[in-house]
Amino acid sequence: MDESRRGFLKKAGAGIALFTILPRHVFGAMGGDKRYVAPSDQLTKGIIGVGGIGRSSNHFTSDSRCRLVAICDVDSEHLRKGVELGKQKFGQNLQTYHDFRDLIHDPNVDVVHIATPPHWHGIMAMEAARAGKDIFCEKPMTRTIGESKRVREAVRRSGRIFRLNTWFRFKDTFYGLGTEVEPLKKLVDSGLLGWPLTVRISGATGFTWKFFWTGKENLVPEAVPSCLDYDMWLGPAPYKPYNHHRVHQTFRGYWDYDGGGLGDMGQHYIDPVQYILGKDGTFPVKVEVDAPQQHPDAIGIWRSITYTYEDGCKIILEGEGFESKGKVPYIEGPGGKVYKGFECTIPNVMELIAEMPDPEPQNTDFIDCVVNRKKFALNEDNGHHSSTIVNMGVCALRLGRPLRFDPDTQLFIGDDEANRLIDQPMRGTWSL
Amino acid sequence: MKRTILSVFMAMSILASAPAGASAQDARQRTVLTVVQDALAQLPAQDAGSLDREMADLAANAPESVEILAGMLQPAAQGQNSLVEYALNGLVNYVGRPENGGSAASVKAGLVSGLEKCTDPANRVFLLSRLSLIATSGDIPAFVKYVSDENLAPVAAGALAIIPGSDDAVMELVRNGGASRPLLAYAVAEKGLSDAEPYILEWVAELDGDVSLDSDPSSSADTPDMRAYLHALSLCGSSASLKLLKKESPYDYVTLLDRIARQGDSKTALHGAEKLLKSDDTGIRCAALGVIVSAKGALAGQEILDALKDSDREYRCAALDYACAFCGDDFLINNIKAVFPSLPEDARTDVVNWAGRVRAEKLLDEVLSSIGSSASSELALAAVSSAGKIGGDKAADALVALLSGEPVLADAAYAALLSFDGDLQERLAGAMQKDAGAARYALRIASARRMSGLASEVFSLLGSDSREVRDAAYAALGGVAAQEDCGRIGSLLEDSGRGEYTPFLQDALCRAIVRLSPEEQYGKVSALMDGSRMPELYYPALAQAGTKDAVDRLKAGCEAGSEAAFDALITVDSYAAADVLLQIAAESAENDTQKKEAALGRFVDIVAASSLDDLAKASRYSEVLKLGPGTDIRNKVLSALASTPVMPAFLLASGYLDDAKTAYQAANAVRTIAARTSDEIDYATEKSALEKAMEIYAGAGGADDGYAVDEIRKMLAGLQPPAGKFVLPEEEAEAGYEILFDGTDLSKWTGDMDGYTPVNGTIFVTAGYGNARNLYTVKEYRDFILRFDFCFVKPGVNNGVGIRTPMGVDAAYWGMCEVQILDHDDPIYKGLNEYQVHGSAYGIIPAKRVIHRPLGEWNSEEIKVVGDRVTVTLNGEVILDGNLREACQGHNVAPDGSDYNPYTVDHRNHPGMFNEKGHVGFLGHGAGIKFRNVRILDLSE
Repeated sequence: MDESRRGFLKKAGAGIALFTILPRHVFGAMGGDKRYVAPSDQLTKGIIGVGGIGRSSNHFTSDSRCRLVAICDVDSEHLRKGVELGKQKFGQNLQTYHDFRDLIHDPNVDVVHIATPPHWHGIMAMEAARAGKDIFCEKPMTRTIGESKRVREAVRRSGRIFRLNTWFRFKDTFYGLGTEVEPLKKLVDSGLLGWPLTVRISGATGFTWKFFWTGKENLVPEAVPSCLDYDMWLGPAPYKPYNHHRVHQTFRGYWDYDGGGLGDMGQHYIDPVQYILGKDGTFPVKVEVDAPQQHPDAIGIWRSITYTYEDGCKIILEGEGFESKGKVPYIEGPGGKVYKGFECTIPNVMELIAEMPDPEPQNTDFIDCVVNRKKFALNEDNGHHSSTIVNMGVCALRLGRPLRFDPDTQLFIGDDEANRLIDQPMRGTWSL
Repeated sequence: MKRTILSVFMAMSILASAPAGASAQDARQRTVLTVVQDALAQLPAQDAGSLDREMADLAANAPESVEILAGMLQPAAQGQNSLVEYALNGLVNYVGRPENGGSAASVKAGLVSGLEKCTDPANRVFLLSRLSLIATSGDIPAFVKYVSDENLAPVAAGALAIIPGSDDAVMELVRNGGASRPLLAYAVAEKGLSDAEPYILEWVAELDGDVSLDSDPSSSADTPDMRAYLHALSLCGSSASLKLLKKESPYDYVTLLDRIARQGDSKTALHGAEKLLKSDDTGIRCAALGVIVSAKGALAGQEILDALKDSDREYRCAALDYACAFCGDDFLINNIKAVFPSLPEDARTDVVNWAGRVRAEKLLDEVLSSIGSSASSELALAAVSSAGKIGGDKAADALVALLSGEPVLADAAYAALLSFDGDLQERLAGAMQKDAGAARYALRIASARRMSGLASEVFSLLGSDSREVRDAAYAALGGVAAQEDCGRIGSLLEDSGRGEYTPFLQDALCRAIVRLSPEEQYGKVSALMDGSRMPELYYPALAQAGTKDAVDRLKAGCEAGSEAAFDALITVDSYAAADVLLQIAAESAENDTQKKEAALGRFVDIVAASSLDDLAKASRYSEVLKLGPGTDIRNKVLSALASTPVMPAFLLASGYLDDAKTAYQAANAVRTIAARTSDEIDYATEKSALEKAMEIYAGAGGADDGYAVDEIRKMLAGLQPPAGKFVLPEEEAEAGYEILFDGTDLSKWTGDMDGYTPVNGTIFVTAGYGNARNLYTVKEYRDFILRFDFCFVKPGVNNGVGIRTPMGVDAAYWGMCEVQILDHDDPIYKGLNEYQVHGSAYGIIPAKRVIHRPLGEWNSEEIKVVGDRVTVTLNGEVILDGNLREACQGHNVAPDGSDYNPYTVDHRNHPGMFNEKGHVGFLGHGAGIKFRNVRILDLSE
């Protein structure tokens, strides 16, 4: 094993790149996987799921620090398009896999990029952790509270580096808010807004909940297309007759695979709030929903979802079309309010917060984190927390009632049915 | 509304297939079938209250209600079950709620008997999975019964895995082989059933036997069934399974060791784990160390220390991650201190990174000593970053000292100091005096952290001999300047003129005054300008002030041809600059498109951020488009129009659907406005624009475009074509009424034809308040009966009918009168004078106050004018009938010629009251009202 490319990387540290890149088969011919020597200190990655985000220009990439070598999909059409794109972009024949476990265990793959629908994230992340692979996982981390909890344990246990892929806590203008998160963090840390704070994630503050990601009721069974392995697409999800609306792109509208706009955008929007409020290590204690009744399979819309922390801080999600009227603050506290575009009721707030120290630097270079074994800014730990906030909302929404949560046991208080949504049984031989 | 109707329809069609004989009655004397029928008609419930009401009724009638519902499920292939699914799932959630648990037993009984009668596999899965959400130990037989059913097995086994108290039942199945083994293994694993271990070991042996013919014996672990068994053993097993797992699945082996440790046999666990520390699989070593750490707690310090000496960085860092839990433990920290010097450099790097992460103050000496003693920069850089996180005086001194050193470290120290949580002022003042390198960094930090306490140091460095320091001092000035520095900066500006430091000084002036109010800022700046040789130096500060006066001065500068004035103007962050920008764009030279586009782009931003209402914003955007801007600005306007959901915005945007360069943004605007507006949009126009937009989205093919197509399709399906043209009722035709508006044609009207447009058979009003915003009949009338329908679309609408009025004047005073149209029920009209309520001859005779029909409902009104008498009839009720001349005793104006008229109720003069004839007019006071079926009988003819 010490001869493997991982062994090399482990010792290389910040490293000195010296070898010529040679195609993999040259080495293969020289004597088996175990003796394979890295062509360089360049990392390699494999993408699982190349239907949507996995084939997007942000992720279907190769560069001098990390090279894409393998792709996996249960739809042969996706694989075919991925191979074509690989030839066109990198002039390279990518290794293809149908079964994600084969990609994960491919010794040429260092980093596993999980870009499947969310019902797979937990299983794949755990398998990758067990195989000693570092993990780049698309949002949301998982679709249940129990799964992200187990992923967090597995990643820590095997000493892996895990990145959850949303980024507003450390870069870019925060969706439609018109400002980055950093000045908001400084403002909150400064105490100028007072405490406790209420954050509104709403169309009125620049966030869209994508209510078009709803499911369809009364789906009529259809023939499964020959290119798709539907049983493997479902994996741990309950078996339901195939309909094209369940899979590819529109899967977001079904509880079995995702959680609609809330499930799919929620962590994007809520994770930075968790960071701003300094709540990376805890959970809300209460979640309340105002919504029409939800169908057991197809996800519908909702009016509002309110989370409350023990100290009184609140995160309020306002559904599309149900935004508060008038001028709606993004963050509101006893000392003032801040609106879209960092408009603030505190005069000269930018000048005031400039006097504060910047927030502590975060590790935002994933490749550097992998090479130098640093925890990424958004990792299995704070990722589990923000994923859980989303999934608390999902549970309350599905049940149509308020729920109380115990941050220590990470269970709902006095509600057995709700707790059955925390660890949902998996189908067939799948398990975590 | 539509939803409810659909639901009722669905409920009725489902009921056609309801089982007969559901005849019991509830407290309201309804049969259970009726209860179910009533509930289905209300589903899906739109809020928690109505959901609770419906579900309480259904629960009270369980199990019969549940059986009826289950019987209504049609084969899934017909896909028509959603209402029943709402009902059953809602019911399960209702009784799953702790306080409603009393009805759970009967609901579960209903599900069980419903399941027995149901034959469709997908429906059976649905019923059993609902049961699994609320099942308790008493319900276990229902799941055992189906655990070997082809379709139900996964649900039944999954349920057994999550229901508390199912241990015995699962063991019974394990012993007697009543179900699929991998499924049972799943339940065993989730429950951690120790008793199952010997059976699963047997299953493994049997499976191993099955695959022993396989050419590669090692592959048995790789079948799904075998993985399920090994996984189960790791979570239910004892030392009896260790050997097998060690050979077949190292990860499950570690998991089992962890279980054994937690069950108290730490000796066995530690023995196994310690051996694994020598594994060549890093992940296994990490996990084994985790077992040791969880078994020994802080006593695992020695293993962690050993790990630090390991050559594998992944392993070292994993060990440090475990050590986070003990970072307050003196024993561990002291030992780390002791071994630190002997560690290889890359291991020291990991320790130093870790010390920063856990803010280990006790390791600060090791961290700081790592800065200088290192050959590679990796360790030194890690140390600088960690020193910044750990903080304290010592760290601050060290970091500030680094500012004079090697550039790589100085850069890192600079970055660390920006986030350093402590007082740096004196240290930075010292660094500014030290050497050029340190001074430069110190100046940047002082500026970034707005340290106005260092202003005098920065001012003094403006005259530094070192070019570098001087540049840095000028660049830092803005960050430290306060308002008392204003004069000083002003004189520096005057001295520097158009010099290289001018931009810095201009920035410094802006920031020095930024905390003042706009008026105070303008005062300061204009005082400086008045005594200046070069007033243009102050344009940026004027722009920051952004008051009307400031904008006027910038405008004057622009008119005098100053580029600097224009550059400043487009930074003004206030609506005060809007008109000037538009004017500049309109007047800009043909060939100066850059200036025009810049002005228009900024105009759009300012309008978007303004407090104007949507209609006003849309109207301002239309001014931009009238100036014929380029594609970028057109798209910018279209994107802004998407946020102003009003009818004129829709019409405006739909004009850009045909140009490929603007089609996508136009489609977005059209779709968004149509979805959100409460305005009436012409049916044909809306339909054709939406159809075009749908085509554009379909062709675009982006990730979310498919959803847009669906959304538009839904909107198109909901569009209602307007009724036909208005035709006079027979008796009005005979009497000689003349149609003034038939639903399409406004040719008998004149005035503000933009603010009053025929839409879907109505006159749709968008006109604002003002004498030029009225609609008048072309003809003049003396005595007449005017009949029309009106409908309020928004709350608080204000309009009025002008009687015998000239055009372009205030009809309430210069016409005979204005018959008020007002949604006076809106709270904004609290304290309204009685002569202002709906139907009043405004200011002259109050009408009877009515309570208006809800928004969106039509009202019919008749206004009869004969001589001096006005009669108003609303929805058949006379609300005003009076003689204006008598009401003011003949004094329409004050007899003494003054503005105070004691004879009218509003004490105003009404000079037009006795007009012989005049136009009839609709007097706009803003959007939100529709008129239709307007006709008049001229009584003078």
